[in-house]
Amino acid sequence: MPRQQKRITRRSFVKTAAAAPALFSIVPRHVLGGAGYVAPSDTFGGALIGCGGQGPGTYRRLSDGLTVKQLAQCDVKFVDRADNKSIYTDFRRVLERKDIDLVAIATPPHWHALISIAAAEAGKDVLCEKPMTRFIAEGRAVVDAFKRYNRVFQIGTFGRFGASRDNNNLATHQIMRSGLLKECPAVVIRRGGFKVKEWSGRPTLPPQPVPSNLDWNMYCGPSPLKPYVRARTGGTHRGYWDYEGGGLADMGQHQLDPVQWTYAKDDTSPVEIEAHAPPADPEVCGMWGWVEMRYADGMILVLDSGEWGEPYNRKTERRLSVADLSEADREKVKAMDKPEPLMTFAEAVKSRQQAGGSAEAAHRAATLLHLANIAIRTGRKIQYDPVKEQVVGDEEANRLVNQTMRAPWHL
Amino acid sequence: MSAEQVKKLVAAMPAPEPNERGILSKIDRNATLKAIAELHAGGEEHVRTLVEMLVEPGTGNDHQARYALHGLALYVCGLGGRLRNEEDRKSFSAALAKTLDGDRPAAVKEFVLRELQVCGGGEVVAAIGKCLGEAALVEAAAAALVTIGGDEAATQFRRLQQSANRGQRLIAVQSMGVLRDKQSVSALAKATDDDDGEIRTVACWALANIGDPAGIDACLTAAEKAQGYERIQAGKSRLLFAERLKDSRQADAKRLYEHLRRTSGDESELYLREIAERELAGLG
Repeated sequence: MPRQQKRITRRSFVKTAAAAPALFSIVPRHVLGGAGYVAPSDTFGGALIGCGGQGPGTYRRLSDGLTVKQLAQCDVKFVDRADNKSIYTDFRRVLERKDIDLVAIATPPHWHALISIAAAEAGKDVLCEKPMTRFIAEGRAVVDAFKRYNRVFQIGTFGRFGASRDNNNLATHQIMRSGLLKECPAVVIRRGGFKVKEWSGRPTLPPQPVPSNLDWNMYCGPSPLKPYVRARTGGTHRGYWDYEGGGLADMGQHQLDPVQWTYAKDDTSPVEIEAHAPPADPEVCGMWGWVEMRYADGMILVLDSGEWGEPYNRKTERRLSVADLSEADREKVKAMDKPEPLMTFAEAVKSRQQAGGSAEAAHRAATLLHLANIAIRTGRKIQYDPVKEQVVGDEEANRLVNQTMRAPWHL
Repeated sequence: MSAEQVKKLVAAMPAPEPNERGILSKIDRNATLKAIAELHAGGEEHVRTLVEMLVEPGTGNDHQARYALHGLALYVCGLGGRLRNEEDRKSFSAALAKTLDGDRPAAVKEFVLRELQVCGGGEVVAAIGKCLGEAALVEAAAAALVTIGGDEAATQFRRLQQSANRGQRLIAVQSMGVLRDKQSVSALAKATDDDDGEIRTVACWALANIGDPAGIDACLTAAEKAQGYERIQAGKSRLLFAERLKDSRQADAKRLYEHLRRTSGDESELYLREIAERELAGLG
């Protein structure tokens, strides 16, 4: 059977299964095909875009629970080995392929949004490394694209899965989800673990010759085409604003994704952000002490790096408990249904439903990192409108919310 | 204040820490802010002196001068809790833009353009626009102009779009799309038939993003010819175009969705046909 036909068969199966969940759940695939049998129609074509250190792990997570045949690997450093059959340097050639269904993205973050969106436009499902984006407007564009094309997106951080199984977190989640708490007295402080020094950039490195195996223009992509410096690639890219946002952007999505789930903030963002940091460098990410963020309901989220300046001491940590509710409201929360278990990527692909760590949730978690970095980079307190996703009354700060891309790349 | 004094203030900016890989790990925030404020007090003359301290990458260490200039660009917008003063911002930006006229290395001018992207406004559009004609500066100039936005910025790109240089035309086409410049529609419609596939693709997207019905025919014609990735992008352009129009011009939106449905015959494009059908059903 030609691959194209197989693909349609699988998609039709998936579509039918989604429409009839009862049938899907009571007839396991191994019953239909015998134990261990994998029908050709259940085999997905997979591609990995961005084959550096993180790539193989991201691809493994893409394949977890699915039968995936890897058909393509793509990386801008494959200039000397690309054959445009299974090894590529240009992701667009990969996405043209009709036999690829699933794409794992493990490039540096300045490419995450654009490749995710392009994959959705080409009808593919995506598992993308964290951080989801380099700036806020990219995240909204990813959410819109995956909604428009009805594709599955999952971010490569899974802390929310663990958080959602923890009874204390679950209790907090239920209180917040109930909407019964008009003012949220919680103060969540995340101390350390942001790798601020580790992923600070080095501002005085001289330009070097571009390695012959690297397509430097494509590497820079939507970011400015700067002279090649080795440290701009290979992990240390994290220290440059052009590609990521320091340790905060690198580690923040891991740290804050579970907080977003626990406090039911997957559809909103803080309204006021203040950073304690020295003036930022124009090129490289650097030191910061702490960032305090306040949500509209009063909840405070603090990131305390412990790596620069005085530690955060404005407030002390304060958790939520049922004691914050009236007697009557406690009963209402107790009577609430528990949230549905978060869906894995494999389950989402098969059922065509939202994965845990979906585009919207991932975008809101990434927004925290970006807002923190905007406050650090502008050196002033900012007010944010979580609905319009704009900084209020600060045009220059908004230039970091939606950053210009180099042609031909655009959202 | 003399150039020597400026140099002294620049020396107060953070320097790479040799014992920590050369990162900026030891920064005295208050001393840095104070030095930036003193530099600012020196006005246009200090700006010029600072720019004169910049060199091409790899030919010397100008990091502290770059840091100081960036600090000033932030300062005039409200760095360190300082009350923002629009006149301060304008006069700093104008002084910085004046340095684009001098005979300086392209890499230095590029840095100046990047800082104008941080703090510049309408007052520097004309000065930045002059840099669009220089191949080494066109990207940085375009980024600054798109960021600043406005009609005057769009005018600069309409001029650039007539260039014979492929790279400059591509930048112009994209920028007109980002700025959603309605006056560019006829030029963009022409660009959908360009010999260059990337220009065609970006032109179709730009027309869609602008959302002026006068661009529909060009967008549909281009979609029928498109192959490979360009064809995928043609799907995106039609969907975006229809979304821009579906509240105000339903018939035009329907036309775009119907075209997408009709031309998505290949089994690999079923998902596009399904979207078109869903949207058409929604429009009634």
